[in-house]
Amino acid sequence: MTEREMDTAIDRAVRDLMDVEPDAAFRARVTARLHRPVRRAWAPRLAAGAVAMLAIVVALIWLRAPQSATKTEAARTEPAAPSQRLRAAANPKPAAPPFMTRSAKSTRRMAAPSIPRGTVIAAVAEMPFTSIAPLTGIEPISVAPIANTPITPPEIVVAPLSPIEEVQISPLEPRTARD
Amino acid sequence: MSQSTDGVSTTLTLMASEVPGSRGAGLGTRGSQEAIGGTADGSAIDLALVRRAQAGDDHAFGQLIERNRRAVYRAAYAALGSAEDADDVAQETFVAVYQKLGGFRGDASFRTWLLAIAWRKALDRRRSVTRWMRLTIRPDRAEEDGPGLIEQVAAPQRTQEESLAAGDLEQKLRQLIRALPRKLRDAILLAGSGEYSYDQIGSMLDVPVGTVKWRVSEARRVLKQKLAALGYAHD
Repeated sequence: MTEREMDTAIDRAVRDLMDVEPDAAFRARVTARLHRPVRRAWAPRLAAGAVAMLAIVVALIWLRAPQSATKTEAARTEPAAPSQRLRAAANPKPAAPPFMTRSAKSTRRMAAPSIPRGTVIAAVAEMPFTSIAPLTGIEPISVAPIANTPITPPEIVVAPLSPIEEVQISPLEPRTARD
Repeated sequence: MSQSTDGVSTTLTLMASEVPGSRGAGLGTRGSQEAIGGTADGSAIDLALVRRAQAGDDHAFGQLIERNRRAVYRAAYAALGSAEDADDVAQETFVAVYQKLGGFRGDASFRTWLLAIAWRKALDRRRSVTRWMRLTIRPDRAEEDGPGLIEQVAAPQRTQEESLAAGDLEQKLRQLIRALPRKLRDAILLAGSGEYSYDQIGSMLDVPVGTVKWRVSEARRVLKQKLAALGYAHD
């Protein structure tokens, strides 16, 4: 195949590749599309975004709700039955291991039985009183005064420079011929 | 749709329907010819139709669609390689043009303006995530592939042996064209379609005419080099 034949083949291949046309109903389709009501492309995206935001807010509220409920309940001080108080004091709520995830913690919080109102405070009130010795006076710290010793720098002796020897330069010879 | 009754408009409409699709830049003409909308007559007809469409004449806009649908469709097809996508993008282009028609002042040729919009839309589609996902999920509909494209090729009169050899060569060439870098492929397809002038291709690709010509030439060189490597160069 010669260069010229290659050129011809390329021309034909490209022309054939691009020998396409829209069908006869193209104009009708465009016209129909022109008269179609404008579809707001941003509306579905906006709706999806709003739904996603709502889901996130609901999830946050759901995750935070059991924790705050427990705190609120613990803060209240209502008397409870002695048997309940003792049980609560004997079985304090263990701390969650550090490897537990937040969701696992929240699940566990929800599954655990709630402590009756006032139990914790009542149990603390029943604990034996422990006396703490008063603090003793702190002895003053003695620091030795700073000595003011003058610094005497050693004398610097500079040896005299030795005389420079005379340099003998022989005179250049004149050129005999040009390069 | 309203039909204009004045004589000038009727004449222009007749001219518009009678102008045949002429050859454009072509691969061998080096941009000496101008495509249908690039000629002075074509531009004048388009401009007259645009003025009528701007005045609310839907029939004139219909004429603009008829006159330019092939050019727009082929530009989209060159970028996308899929008949379905090209059709959709061509429709989108005309809808966008209809909406923007009031802002067209006629500083540039209508066809150049139209083709620039079509090319931008085609590129947007080519880059779209949706299209990429569709082609990934259904690779049989990948660009420039599929029997639909091959069936559309007009078969010239040849002997059986010649047809087999030519068919094989054409098939190889299509594969090679597909494998070209996008910049070279876009240029050679647009130029080879015979639909656009080099000026119009330059406007579409947003590069100078010299760059378009270089890309076409480079694409040809690469194709010939690969053909030679495949053993098609005997002499």
